[in-house]
Amino acid sequence: MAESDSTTQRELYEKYAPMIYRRCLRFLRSKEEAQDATSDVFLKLLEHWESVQNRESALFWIHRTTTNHCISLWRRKKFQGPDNEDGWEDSPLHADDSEEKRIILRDILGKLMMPWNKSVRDIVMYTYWDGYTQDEISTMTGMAPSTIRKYLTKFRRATEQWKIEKLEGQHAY
Amino acid sequence: MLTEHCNRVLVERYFLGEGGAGEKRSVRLHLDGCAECRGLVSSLEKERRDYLLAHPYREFAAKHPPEGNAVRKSSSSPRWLPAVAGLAACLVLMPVVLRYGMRGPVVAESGVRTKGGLVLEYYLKRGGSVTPGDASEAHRAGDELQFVYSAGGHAYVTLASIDARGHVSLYRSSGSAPAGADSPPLSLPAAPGEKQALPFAVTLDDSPGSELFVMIFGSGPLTGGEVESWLTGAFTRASGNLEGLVSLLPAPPGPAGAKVKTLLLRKSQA
Repeated sequence: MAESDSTTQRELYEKYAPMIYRRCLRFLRSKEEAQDATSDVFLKLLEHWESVQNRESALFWIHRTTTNHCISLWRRKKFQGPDNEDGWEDSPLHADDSEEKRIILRDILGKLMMPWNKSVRDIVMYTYWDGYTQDEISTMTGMAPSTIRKYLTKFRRATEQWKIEKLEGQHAY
Repeated sequence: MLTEHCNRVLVERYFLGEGGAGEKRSVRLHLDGCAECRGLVSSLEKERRDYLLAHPYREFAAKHPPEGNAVRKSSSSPRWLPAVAGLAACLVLMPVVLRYGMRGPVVAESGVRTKGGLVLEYYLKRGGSVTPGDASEAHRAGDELQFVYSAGGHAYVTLASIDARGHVSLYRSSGSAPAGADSPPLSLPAAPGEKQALPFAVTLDDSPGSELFVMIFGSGPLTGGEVESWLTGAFTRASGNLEGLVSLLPAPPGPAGAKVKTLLLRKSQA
């Protein structure tokens, strides 16, 4: 590998790995797992760097890829682990999260988001998981604030319906 | 864009060095007047420092050898560029090599990395905001500099500086020491690992012109007298020109094998 490549890789690591780790740790809540996940995501970043650097912001790519990777890891753990079949205890949900946030995040983590497109998933994660404002999401994604509002309204309506169904016992975890 | 309310995404992008010149200027303006966003930058900086101390790049590179995951070059770079750049570098360096040969003055590298893994960088604290230092930008009196280094196996590090008037400043944990002090030893034992912070910050004074910071990486401690006479001698030979001094530094004092890294900081007249 050329010296310049090695230098670039080192610079990318020092620039982005800490931010990836922060996000992984928040999700996985285990330093070891977060470090492994950070390496995985950073390797993806190296693999896709040519296209990532041509985007306006690498931050968006990193947030999305890290989130998807952690959700994927968590799902695997939940559905494969013998002790995790019916519990959410080791999910990334935090005890001080509001009930609405917990329900919505379960919605995302439990694959109930599958009917939604990626943009909606991104917006919902940024809103409920990261606590970003609509302006901040607009900066991140390049979507117009009106589009973000439209997606969130649509999602909230559907979630309300889901919450009602859940209370009526039509969904079970 | 960011003057009326906070936008964490813009601050995070600024921290990562993303965004255009206008966006960066706008964020910088906002940071000057927003303690909350300055706090966000500080916490991001701390997280980065803590993470890199716990998980330095070499740890990642050892587990994932770079050969298998080389960064792909942008397709916009012509294939012949490296060859032309190499040729240009040879042409630029040839007079230096011919003039000084192998036994002449050391050409100190002004910048970030050498092949031996030596690093001298700094973080700049100005008005409550902390940002990675950029030697190409103008600095001001009162700016606080937190130097970080990688000693690459050397046992001691020594920091000193010389300003445009030829005044030498020597630094110890307790701050700036009187020039010429021969004891106790000026040098600090180098901490192992990458990107170690010096246990003190340096505040720029209001002396006019540039200031050249020099870090000596060696196998033994140095005294203030040794460092001062080394720097003032070089300053005289360079006729008081700090840019010229960088390329005219003789081998540093102390045991053989010592290396030098320099940072030339320009100060604006506030």
